[in-house]
Amino acid sequence: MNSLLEFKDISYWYKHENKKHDILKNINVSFEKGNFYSIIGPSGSGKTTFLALASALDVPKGGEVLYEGKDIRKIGLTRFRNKYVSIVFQSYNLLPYMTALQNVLTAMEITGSTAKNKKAVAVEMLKRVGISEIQARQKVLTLSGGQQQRVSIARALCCDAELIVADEPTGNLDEETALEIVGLLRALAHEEGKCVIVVTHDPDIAGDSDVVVKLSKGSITVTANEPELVSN
Amino acid sequence: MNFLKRAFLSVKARKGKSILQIFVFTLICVLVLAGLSIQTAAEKSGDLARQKLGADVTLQADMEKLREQAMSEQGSGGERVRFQSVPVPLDAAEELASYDQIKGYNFYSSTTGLASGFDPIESDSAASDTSEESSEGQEPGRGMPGGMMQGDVSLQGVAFTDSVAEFMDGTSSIVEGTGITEEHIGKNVTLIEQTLAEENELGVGDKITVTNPRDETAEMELEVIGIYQTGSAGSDQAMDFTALNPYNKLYVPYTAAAALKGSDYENTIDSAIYYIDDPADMQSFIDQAKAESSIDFETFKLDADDQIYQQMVGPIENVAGFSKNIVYLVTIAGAVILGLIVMMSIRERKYEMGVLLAIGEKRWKLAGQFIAEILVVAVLSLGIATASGNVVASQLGDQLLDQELASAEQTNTPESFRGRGMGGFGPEMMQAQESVERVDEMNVQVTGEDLGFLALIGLVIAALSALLPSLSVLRLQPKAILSKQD
Repeated sequence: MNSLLEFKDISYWYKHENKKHDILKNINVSFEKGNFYSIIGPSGSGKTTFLALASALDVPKGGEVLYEGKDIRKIGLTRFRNKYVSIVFQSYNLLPYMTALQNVLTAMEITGSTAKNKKAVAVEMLKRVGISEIQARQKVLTLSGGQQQRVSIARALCCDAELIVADEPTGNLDEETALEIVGLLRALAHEEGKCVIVVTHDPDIAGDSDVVVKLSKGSITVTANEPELVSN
Repeated sequence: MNFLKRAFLSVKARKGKSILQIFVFTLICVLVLAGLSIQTAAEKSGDLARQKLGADVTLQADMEKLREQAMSEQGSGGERVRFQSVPVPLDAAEELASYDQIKGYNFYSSTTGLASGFDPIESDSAASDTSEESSEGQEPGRGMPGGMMQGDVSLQGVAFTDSVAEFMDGTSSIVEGTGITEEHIGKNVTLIEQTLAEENELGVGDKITVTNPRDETAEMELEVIGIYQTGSAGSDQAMDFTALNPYNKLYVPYTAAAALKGSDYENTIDSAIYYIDDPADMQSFIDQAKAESSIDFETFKLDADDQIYQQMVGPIENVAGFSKNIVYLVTIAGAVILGLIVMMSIRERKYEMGVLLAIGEKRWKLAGQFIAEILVVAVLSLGIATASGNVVASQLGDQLLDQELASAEQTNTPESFRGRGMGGFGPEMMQAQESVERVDEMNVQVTGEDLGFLALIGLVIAALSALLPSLSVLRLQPKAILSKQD
């Protein structure tokens, strides 16, 4: 199976008081379409950095992030974020002066969604994540934290990107909704052939994923719940 | 949802800030529009004043230069400075009359003459002197200290009587016959005053004779072609010099006046006045004359007297100048103030931009959103300014003009007159004051051209105030923005 996203000898560090702190050291891992991946690890292990590199919000200090074999810097970081990846942020990152529906439509517009009736698609996706039509027309700041997280997820899922990355997408959700969201992400991977990468502390989500990538002290351990999926 | 829709939503959602921006922008637009309208109105008033007043340029001997020459010669030769009249060659004067800027001209040659066979109108003091003078065998009004003779009638040689100031301003008017025109040049004809005609029972077609007071053998017979009436009060000097009595003024062709003066004055005039349609062309006329004509400008000068025009339009030109400065100042200050407001707004909205960049929005579209937002504000402000600009411009224009007029009044009033009321003005001063009617009102109306220019300035302000702060967007890194927010 060809990998959709590949981390090739990726290193990332930062300097503090002239001292180099390694976050990621020569990481090699690839992600394929149709799989649901979990990135786990203790706090400060580099999960968010890993996700930032995967979503082209940042660039590695060493190595290459390849998308379908091409360095994402050559694709262009903005173009990559626009066309190839959808991001679910831990802190929702919704536009406060817009309604839930307008937030989703904005993302669809920016990413050049090919849906014919964008509004209907957006409303439907919001319904799928548990946001009613009435709630969809409310300003996002009037919604609860959990509802805002669902809107953030709907915004990411409405776009046509093959790669979906999510940073703690269920952190603010109740158990039942969290399960629904995880089910939705799994369905996107397994039924629609998307590549879903989720950063999580939740062992249940990790247990539900196809592959678990564990980050620790700058290196990774890849464990497959389905062993044949592990390519590295 | 594209960036234009986002801009509209953002303006709508941020009511407080948008209202502040609209307020500031409207204030700028109203002031700019007022400035533009006042300038337009001032230009129109100036044009009207120009049309009303016209302008004239006088060709005459440059007495100042001649005096300087005489003084320098006196220094070397030790002789006393003497006044010497320098006549203008007729061909030089005619040369300038053909220039394009000229709408009319008049040639002047004046002298005095002794009435022969008719009696001039005597002044009161001259009449009371009659007995004394007669006893000494001298005719009234003719004696001069040192035994010199002076004329008792004045001969005003002209090319046209209709463009003589007294006929143009209505002080004098023809009551019978015709005035002097081009066809009378070279002929010995005259236009005499009604009182003089009645006293001497003269009518059109009659002939009178005048002689040269310096050479009584030189006499000239003039046919009366017209009679005029004058309302001129004359000057106090007319009481002593009969020739200065306005009733004793004979209008003759300039050729006749020159002929009476003597052969030295053949084909010459004292001065020429050229009437120019638009004072704006005055300088070009003078420049052309200096460049192309055969006139010796070491001896003669072209005197452009637009003083009255300047006095008339001075206050409105000051107002126009001030309003031009308002336009510049407000445009620059407005762009800076709005730029700062937008800059502050962009700093507050870094998070929003980080989100949009993370989603994949292009940077130029983010800048476009800010420009579109300020344009929404600009359009609303332009609308309000258009609706209210006329009233504000009119009020502001009137107030500025009133101040300028008051200031001009203060400047032009001699120190000794201040606080004395009108009683302090003599008749001449009153006349001079009345002759300069300052343009004391402007019809300030916002024109389509003003609005077009305002829209242009508004767009420039909007572009400057949004574009420069938007450049900061180009440096933004979404991860840095979002991690700071987190």
